[in-house]
Amino acid sequence: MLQALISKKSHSTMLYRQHQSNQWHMRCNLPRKGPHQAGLRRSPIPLFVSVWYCYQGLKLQELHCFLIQLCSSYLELRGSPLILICKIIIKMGNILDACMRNDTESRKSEFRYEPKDSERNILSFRDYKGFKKTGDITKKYLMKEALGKGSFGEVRLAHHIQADVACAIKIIKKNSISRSQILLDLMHNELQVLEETVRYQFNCRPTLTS
Amino acid sequence: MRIFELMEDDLNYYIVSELISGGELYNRII
Repeated sequence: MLQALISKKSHSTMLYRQHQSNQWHMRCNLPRKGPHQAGLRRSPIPLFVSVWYCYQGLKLQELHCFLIQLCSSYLELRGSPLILICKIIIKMGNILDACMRNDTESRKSEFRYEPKDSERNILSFRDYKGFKKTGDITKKYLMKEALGKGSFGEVRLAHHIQADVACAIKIIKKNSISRSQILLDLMHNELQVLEETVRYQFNCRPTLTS
Repeated sequence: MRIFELMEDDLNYYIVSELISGGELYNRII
């Protein structure tokens, strides 16, 4: 009677523990390890991790490497139908990789911005074609105080009279830059940088001339 | 920064650009 009671109690505690462990497995989203699986070596990386990787938007190359790693760990279970699945996964990874490469290349070509000839001319300093000849600049712009001074000239705050817009005008003295080739090159560099910034503004470059 | 106009006269070149206030960029960086 007593023995039966003890065995019953131990059985119930065992059941309780099992229940607890089941819950723990469910909570952690881990695959339950049954006694029939005890002999098999499980993969160190569960499948849900790979799904998580996908959600995190990792680079597909990385994912591919990861898949191979995953598959190779599964391949340790020899003679199982998993090998076939692994091969399929590796192929899928290859295809995804190729797709990704094509995609990025097509995107690159999509975003390549070709400046128009007119824009090129405006900002090429070397042949000075972009600079319009003007008579008196003070008719168009109201010159205000100087913002800064440099070796080439100065930057002045100005006001476009017709458009009623404040702007900055960099005034470069011609005789100061024609003195040496280095100064010309420096100016050219500066305009190149400006040209790069304009290239990313696409066609939305405004003009004040109304 | 936007460039509005590039002009020249006999003495100078003029680069008309957007006004960005707030002092020297150099001082901000350092």
